[in-house]
Amino acid sequence: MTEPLNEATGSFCIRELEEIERARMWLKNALDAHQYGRHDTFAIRTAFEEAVTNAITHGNRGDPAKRVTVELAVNDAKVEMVITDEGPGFDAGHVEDPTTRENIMRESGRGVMLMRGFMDTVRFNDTGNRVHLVKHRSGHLRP
Amino acid sequence: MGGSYERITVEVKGGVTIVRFKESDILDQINIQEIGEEMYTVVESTPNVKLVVDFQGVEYLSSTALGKLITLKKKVEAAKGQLRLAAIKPEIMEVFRITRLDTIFEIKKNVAEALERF
Repeated sequence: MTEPLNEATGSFCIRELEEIERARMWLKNALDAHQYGRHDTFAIRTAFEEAVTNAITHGNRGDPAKRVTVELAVNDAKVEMVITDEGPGFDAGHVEDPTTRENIMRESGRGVMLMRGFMDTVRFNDTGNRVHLVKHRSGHLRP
Repeated sequence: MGGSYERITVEVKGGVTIVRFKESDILDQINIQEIGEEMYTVVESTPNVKLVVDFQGVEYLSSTALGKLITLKKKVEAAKGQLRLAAIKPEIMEVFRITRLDTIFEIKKNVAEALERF
């Protein structure tokens, strides 16, 4: 099996929403450097934002004393992201459906749905305070 | 309509208020909070508002921003106004489709279409 070439990895420790920008820019630059196309880039960056925001806001309840660890790996074949918070976790298997009549006008609750809609793999640990996201490149290297 | 805004621009055309975003990536939570507050101010200062939100140039939109749009819709409806969204690029339309918010909002291809028969 051919080893994926050109892997770039990044690791970030985030406590507050303002600190997301470094990881966000690293991811953007890595996707550009690996020539991910427009649709894949949109999907990956969207899932990243949802996962990290959820970890800070819901996982750590916005507590700046708690960290969110973001581990990113980008290569020519796929992108992997692992986001871990220091909160108590949640039951990821029973997330309320935000598209029901009762929920659709709620102002929050769509993050997990968007992650699942855009990524190939979304896997939470048993506690629910770590999520592993994978997106395989969907096309050829962009010209 | 007075006031200058940090995050949005406001144009009034034929009795319709058009709001546009100054930034292309609507991801930052602080910015989203401010964008929301500014849009709400537009609604609150315009009786029976006919509002078009123009997404031309917007590249990314987080679910937090979707939440602000839902609040905006509620405020417009409470004020007996009307709301249309316009010029949403295909990737962001996918966000609306995944979340089924394309069934909640009136979405037009561009601002010209959104201004028709308001």
